[in-house]
Amino acid sequence: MTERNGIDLSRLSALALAALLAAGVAGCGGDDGDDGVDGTDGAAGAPGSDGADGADGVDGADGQDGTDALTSARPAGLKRLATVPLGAEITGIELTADGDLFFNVQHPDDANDETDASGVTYNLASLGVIRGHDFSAAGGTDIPDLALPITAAEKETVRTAVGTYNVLGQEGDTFGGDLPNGLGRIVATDGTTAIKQSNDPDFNGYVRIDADNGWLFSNWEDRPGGMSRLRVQRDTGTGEWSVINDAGNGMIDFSSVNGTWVNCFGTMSPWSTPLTSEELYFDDTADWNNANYDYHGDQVALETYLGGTYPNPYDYGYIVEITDPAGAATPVKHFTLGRFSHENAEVMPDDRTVYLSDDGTGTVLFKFVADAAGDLSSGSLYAAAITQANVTHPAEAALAIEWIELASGDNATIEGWVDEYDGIDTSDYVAGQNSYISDEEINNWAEGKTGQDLDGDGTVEDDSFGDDRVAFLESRKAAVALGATGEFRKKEGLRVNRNRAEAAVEGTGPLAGSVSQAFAYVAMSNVNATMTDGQGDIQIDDIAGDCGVVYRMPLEADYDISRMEPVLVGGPYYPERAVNNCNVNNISEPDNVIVLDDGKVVIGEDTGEHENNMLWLFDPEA
Amino acid sequence: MNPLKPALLFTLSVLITACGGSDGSTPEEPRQQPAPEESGTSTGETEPEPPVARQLPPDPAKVLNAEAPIPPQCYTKTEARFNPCYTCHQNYDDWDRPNYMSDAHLQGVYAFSELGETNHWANLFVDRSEEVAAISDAEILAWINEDNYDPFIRALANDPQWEGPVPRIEDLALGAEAFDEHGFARDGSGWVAFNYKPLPSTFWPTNGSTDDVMIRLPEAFRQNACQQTGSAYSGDVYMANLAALEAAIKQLDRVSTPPIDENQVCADLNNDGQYTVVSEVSRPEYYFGNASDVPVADMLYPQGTQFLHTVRYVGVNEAGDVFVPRRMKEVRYMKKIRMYDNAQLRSLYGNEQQEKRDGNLPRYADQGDQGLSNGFGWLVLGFIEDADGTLRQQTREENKFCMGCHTSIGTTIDQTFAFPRKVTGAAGWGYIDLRGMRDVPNYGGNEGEILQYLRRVGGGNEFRANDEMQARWFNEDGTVKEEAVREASVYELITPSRDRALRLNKAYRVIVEEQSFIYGRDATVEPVDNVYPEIDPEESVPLEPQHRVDDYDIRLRWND
Repeated sequence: MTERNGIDLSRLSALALAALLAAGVAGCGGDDGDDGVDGTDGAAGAPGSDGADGADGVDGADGQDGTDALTSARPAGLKRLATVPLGAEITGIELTADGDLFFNVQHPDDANDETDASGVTYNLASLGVIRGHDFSAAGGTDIPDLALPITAAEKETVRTAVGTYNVLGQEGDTFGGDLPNGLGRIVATDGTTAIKQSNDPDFNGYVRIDADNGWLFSNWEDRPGGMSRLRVQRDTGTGEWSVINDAGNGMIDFSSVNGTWVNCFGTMSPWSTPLTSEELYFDDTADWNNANYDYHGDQVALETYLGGTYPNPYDYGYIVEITDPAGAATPVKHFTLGRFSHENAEVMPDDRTVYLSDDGTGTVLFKFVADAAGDLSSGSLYAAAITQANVTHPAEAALAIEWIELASGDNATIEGWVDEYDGIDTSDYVAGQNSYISDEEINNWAEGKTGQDLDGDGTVEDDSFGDDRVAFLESRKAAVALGATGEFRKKEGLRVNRNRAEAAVEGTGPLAGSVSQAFAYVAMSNVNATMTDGQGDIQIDDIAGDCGVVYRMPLEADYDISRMEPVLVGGPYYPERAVNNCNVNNISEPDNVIVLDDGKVVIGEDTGEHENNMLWLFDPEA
Repeated sequence: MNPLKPALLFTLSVLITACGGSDGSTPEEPRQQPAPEESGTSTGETEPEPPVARQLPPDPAKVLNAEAPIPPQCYTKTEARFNPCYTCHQNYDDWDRPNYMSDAHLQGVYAFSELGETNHWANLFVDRSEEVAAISDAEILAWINEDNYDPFIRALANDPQWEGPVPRIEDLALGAEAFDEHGFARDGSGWVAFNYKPLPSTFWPTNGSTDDVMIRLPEAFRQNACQQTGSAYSGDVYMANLAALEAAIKQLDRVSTPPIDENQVCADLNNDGQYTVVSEVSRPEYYFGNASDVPVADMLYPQGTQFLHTVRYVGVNEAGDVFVPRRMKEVRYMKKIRMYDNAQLRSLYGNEQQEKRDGNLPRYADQGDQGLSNGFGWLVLGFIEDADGTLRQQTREENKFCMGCHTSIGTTIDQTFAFPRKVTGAAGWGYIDLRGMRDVPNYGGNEGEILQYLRRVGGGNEFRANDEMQARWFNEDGTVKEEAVREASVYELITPSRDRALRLNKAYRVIVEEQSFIYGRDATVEPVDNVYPEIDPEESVPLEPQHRVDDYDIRLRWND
């Protein structure tokens, strides 16, 4: 009531009336007498009391908004490289040694009916490569800027600034019988029960045979998820890529590791094995066997995949290496690299230092150092503790990184701990309790490690297990318990260019002598929520929000990283637009990134804020 | 998880408070602070503050509520015990049921994005009683008895620029007269009308609208080549296929039909080993006629299925009979352009859930004149009245409102409500007619659906704001008049009195003049009390577990 600017009319009227009455005198009736002589005018009466204040005036119209610090202009050095059809996002950005740029069209709208020049319709998820342009070496130069799609034909197909997008396969394709269940179909371990049909191809990993031949490994994101392997070949005459028939074509068999979960982005290891990531997205393990959990259907799907065995949550959420990729393609889950919502694992040219991106809300930046080069099965896991510079604007807020050691371990030992949680199902669930590793146990482990009373209950606990399972099986919570920062939001692809990295850090490799400083780049799809809530180690202004930020991290001696700085901030964000709420001349919700040999960065979008998602080429030197 | 701060909207609402009641502004003028003569009442009471200031007329190029798929009903104050949510939000354990949304946990918990926590449906907070009083009965009756569909559909059919569907049925404004005794459109367009029980409770006529729904299967489903060469139309084949579809949607072994000549279909429809005229079809593995290569899939429509749904005012005559009048509030159309199997649907619903986990706002590909794509194989398109009553295409934001019900909720059967609720069998083919319709239970239930709904919701609509329903069917203490409800037909239960019908029509007419659909289409006269302007986790009490309803299926037990 007090907020309103109008006032009660009746009260005004009464007061106004009272004022009028107070100012004059009303006569009363009596017998009519003869009219007398007019008297002399009386003295002026006492001034009346002030009337009530009038009603407040109507508020003026709002003034014009001030100009945003960010504008709709194109940031320097940013060019549009490709656009994908309505409904789709860009995934699987992968650059081969021969300069071929692969990327996928994930979940395009099923009503798209326009065809491109090759006669391809984009209402099915598609794997593809840009043919006709070499992105290696100097391939990042002389790329024109691609215009925004406007017509239906432009909006419903893939367009590229250079070359031609060459579709290799679409969801459901059988490739002449090589994939009888269709590309992207997730089938149970019994070989016949169809669980899912993913329309979300993601990571592309390329295992080279020669300049025109290779194996393409593509993740298919789902719960449970999968991965395809296709034998691809470039026609040396026409330059056109296609999938050729091969007994090795198929969906990878993950039954030996109990299946995979949300196969997301990923990277090729320096020794040419695909490292696929399981993006866990399951923050509280206590709910894993809760039949009333909001998304329990996912566990049911996994149980059906396993032929009726209830899944063990600690079997999922890891980096999975496809060993012998051109042969048996045997998956190996690396428990050593921690369990969280892996986006990808980037192995440095020393073949042992690994940076790991964790996606979700309130996430951590991890690092792993293998005991032996080329062998991820044993090593030490670290998590980043962040200190922010004294500035909060998203374009300025640089972050310092200090690495906190979580634990050392090896796959065999950790797998033993994982197996202790087999055989638990929904019948074991008790509301308010945890059938798996509880928060209390995590706290006790952390108190044992630090010797501090972290939960303030008056005692310093001993680790409940007598081992470091907490670090590997509940990595995010373990990290935060030890003082690392768990506040990132939608942290996505993290990549380096290995040639540049090796040249800058070790002075060796093909670019030795021409690169003095190299960076890892990481995309932060949304800088909001836990990054902008005014609490904790990271407190950034909530103005880039849905449009995201790309950061760079200088590589230091021994491939260490101690700094994260913003280089490209998306937006502005226009809330009242029906579509294209993020400025179309800038990135929106960046997802995958890769770095070219010349230092330029290719950035792919996964966004609802651009009507057509875009692939960008960013020159940080511009 | 959305950058749009509630603070921005609060600022707007404090500076430019729009109250209803001013009859001075035309649709062209933006609402200003009301002049002092119109604010407040003599008792000093103030009206509820709308959470969002209405900008009238709205700019069709803007989207002022990116969470338009959340309908007004979701902001109901449940007071922890009144549950209207269960008709949309359910889980099903059946691995083979092709709706995997599993959103029962949403019953009464207001789990919205940050943007969605503000109730953008400002029309709920507007007092229209003055404007309603200014419209005479004669005026509104003349209005609702005008046919605004025929001129609209002719114009659309003849528009060289229009690239979308033309959902045309001759004489559709006349309702039942446009169809034969089995619901087949007399104009040969292939549309078929069916009788169904409206979903509780927004679609009850007592809450503001009448409606009808028609289905059309692709041409191959209406043709056969078995008695002649070529692809001649066959009403027998069409009816057989409609029956097969009904059996599939309802998971019935067989359904009754009007008479069908098996000789025209060249199939033994009732499995009795001979070809005769039959009145029953057993659920087949494949459809009939030229669609015999299309497998019948439980609870899924074949690719190419179309639905036409007109939403209309409440027609009423001197005697107080309620019927479907000529004027249409909206013409709604959807077409299935992609057939998904269960494995594919599991993935699609999984993606939808992931979008929610990530806190993303809902997005639907805009396919222009074809409508919005719902991501589950359907294109959804709507037309609505312009300020002068001419039907026009809905704006992007207006069309987005459709998606809340026709995309990602747990109770729909292949994204629909009405056809699964058709009166089963032969009796159900024909234009909607609620007279004599029984309040049958849902699948799995054993009491009348409306009876249970009234008990669970505590009122005659989701907001417990239907005074007439309250007086007719509830006792003073809030309990339901059980006997009376059990004895009443659906028509008697859910149609309004003449007076109420006229008032609801007038209230909606005001919204049409304002073109304020993006602020809500509910035909309320006075502001609604039992609705939250803002969801505050501290104050917005969730539904208590004992009031949840976990066994609801929109399909009905017609034949028990």
